[in-house]
Amino acid sequence: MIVVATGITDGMLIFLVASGLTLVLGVMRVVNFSHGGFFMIGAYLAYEFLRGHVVPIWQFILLLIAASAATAVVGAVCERLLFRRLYRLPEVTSLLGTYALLLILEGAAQLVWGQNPVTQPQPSGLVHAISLGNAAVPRYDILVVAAGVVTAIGLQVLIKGTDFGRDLTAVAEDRFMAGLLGINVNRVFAATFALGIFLAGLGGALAGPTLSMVPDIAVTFILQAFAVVIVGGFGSIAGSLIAALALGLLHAFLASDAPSLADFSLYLLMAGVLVVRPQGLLGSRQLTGGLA
Amino acid sequence: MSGHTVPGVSRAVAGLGRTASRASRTAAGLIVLAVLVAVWPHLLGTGQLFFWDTAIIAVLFATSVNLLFGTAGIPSFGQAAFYGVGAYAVAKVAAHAWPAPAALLLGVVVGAGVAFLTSLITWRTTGLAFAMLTLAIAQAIYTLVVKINWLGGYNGIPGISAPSFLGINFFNAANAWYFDAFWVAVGLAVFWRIRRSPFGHTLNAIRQDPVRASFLGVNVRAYRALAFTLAGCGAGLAGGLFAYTNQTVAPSNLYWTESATPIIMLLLGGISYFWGPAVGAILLTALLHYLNQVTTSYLFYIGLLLLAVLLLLPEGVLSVPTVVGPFRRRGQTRPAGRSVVGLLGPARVRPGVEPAPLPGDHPETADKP
Repeated sequence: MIVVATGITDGMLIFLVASGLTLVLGVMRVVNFSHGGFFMIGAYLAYEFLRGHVVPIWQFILLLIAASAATAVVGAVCERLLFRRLYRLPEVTSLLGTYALLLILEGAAQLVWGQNPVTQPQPSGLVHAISLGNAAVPRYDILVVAAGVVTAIGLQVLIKGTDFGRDLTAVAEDRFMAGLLGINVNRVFAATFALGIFLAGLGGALAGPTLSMVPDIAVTFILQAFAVVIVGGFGSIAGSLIAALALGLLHAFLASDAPSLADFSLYLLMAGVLVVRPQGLLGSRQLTGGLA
Repeated sequence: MSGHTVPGVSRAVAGLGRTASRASRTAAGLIVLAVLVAVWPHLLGTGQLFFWDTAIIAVLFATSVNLLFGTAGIPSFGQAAFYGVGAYAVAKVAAHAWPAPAALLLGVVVGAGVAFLTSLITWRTTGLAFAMLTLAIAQAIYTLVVKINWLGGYNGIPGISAPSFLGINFFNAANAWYFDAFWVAVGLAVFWRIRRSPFGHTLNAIRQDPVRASFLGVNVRAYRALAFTLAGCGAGLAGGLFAYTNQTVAPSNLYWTESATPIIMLLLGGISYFWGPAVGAILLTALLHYLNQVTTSYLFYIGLLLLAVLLLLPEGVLSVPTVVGPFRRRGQTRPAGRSVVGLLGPARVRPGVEPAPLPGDHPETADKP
């Protein structure tokens, strides 16, 4: 039971990061290495807003939103200054452009916050564990899972049920045609990127109290998110949710039953899925297959 | 009509002259390089010599990676794994006092073998999916290396003894430099030859338009796998030299950010030039060396530099003459250049040759607003 709870919590955290990544990839066709950088910025901004104070849960939720929004603003600025120039370039060049941004973000964090780890306290109402059945589950995990569920539902509603979602789907399908039909592609890109970075910031702000923050989390956390995007299928949010939960559960089970294998759960999952479905769980062949 | 020379003939004569002067210039350049290598230890102190050892090893590594990016158009993000396994292989057998050439050969074989296995796993993927998959495989190898106690876990293998061969004392910094320079020269010569071989030209064709190449009967996937394996050879050799020079190998040498370093180097120097990665490697190594002394965060400045090069000088530092040239000598057209990592872009063409029609006109890239 405790294993399942840990697995779902970890999975939800990865999902928050991966959903933004897959959104940007699916719509803008940019593999955004800097996503991990924004995750880290979100964690540090939340830390900066709180400065070690312990606050009640409703303030903490406001803080999460503020930190994510601030991260999204940084992201929007980067989109305007940098990414808009990258769309024209070949995919691999834009990949390196985002890698450069990752280096800049990580370097900036090193300059501002230093290399020493800092810790973010949990909100006052969520410090202890509650018992679910026969297991003690940290209360903070419930907040993480709730945030993941709200995000998953919110994204589905946004994409399937709103005008913006329709524009976004159209641009993802065929940006040229969507532009001809009068959709402002640049604006959709800007909004998508800001949304994706908001999710990265949210993931970082939520993950803050669960880890010791160093600028290096920018490069470590992104790998799991990438794996989840590959396994779930490029551009598929539902796929990344399934893949993230599968990864979280697999890691939790292996950690309790076969600890030496736990670090490989990422690669076991990838190998297992990609052998059967090279395009990922819910992906189309559009982005992965073919010769060219 | 007297007094008119036949244009074709005059062009052919000019062409002959150009080939001859190019050959002699290459020879002169090689001689200058050889002399520099020979006198280098007498110009520098031991510490600086160590810095140059690491710089030329980076030159070899970056040049091997450019076989993938610049020639074959294969975006691999996992080359550090092959570099790392080569380094570990040499580190393990150096303890048993293997003669240096045998140890380095083992490094090459191990690097190539792991690269070949990787190319089998990634056989069907291309582009971004390939890039992500190589990154993941390399990272899996990293995790594996950390887990294996025989390889020293997180600490790696310290205290690797200097190369042993023919009883020469390679603890001497100058001898170690000659040792590194020799093997780097061998590696560079091989990659130079590959680039000019029919095989290299086929890789070029595959980069420009894989679909058309496969229509012409080229087994694109097999060629890509072979190029990947050859790049793995180069990475393994560079890794082996690194093990001897650094005398310590650690899992961090395999970490995925290390795969990005040679890519930054070849971007910096210029992807469409053979010597681009070499120039970039020396520039970046020097930059890291000096930035480390003045700032706590070199990442920030490296990132800014990379971005500036990508956006302002997309063909790298070596393209400066072709960019500046037309401003100095008016009336000359600038040769059509290839953008950095223009894996889907047109190849660099020599002046006087008609540029090929834009190949690989992808719906995805062509549709960009």
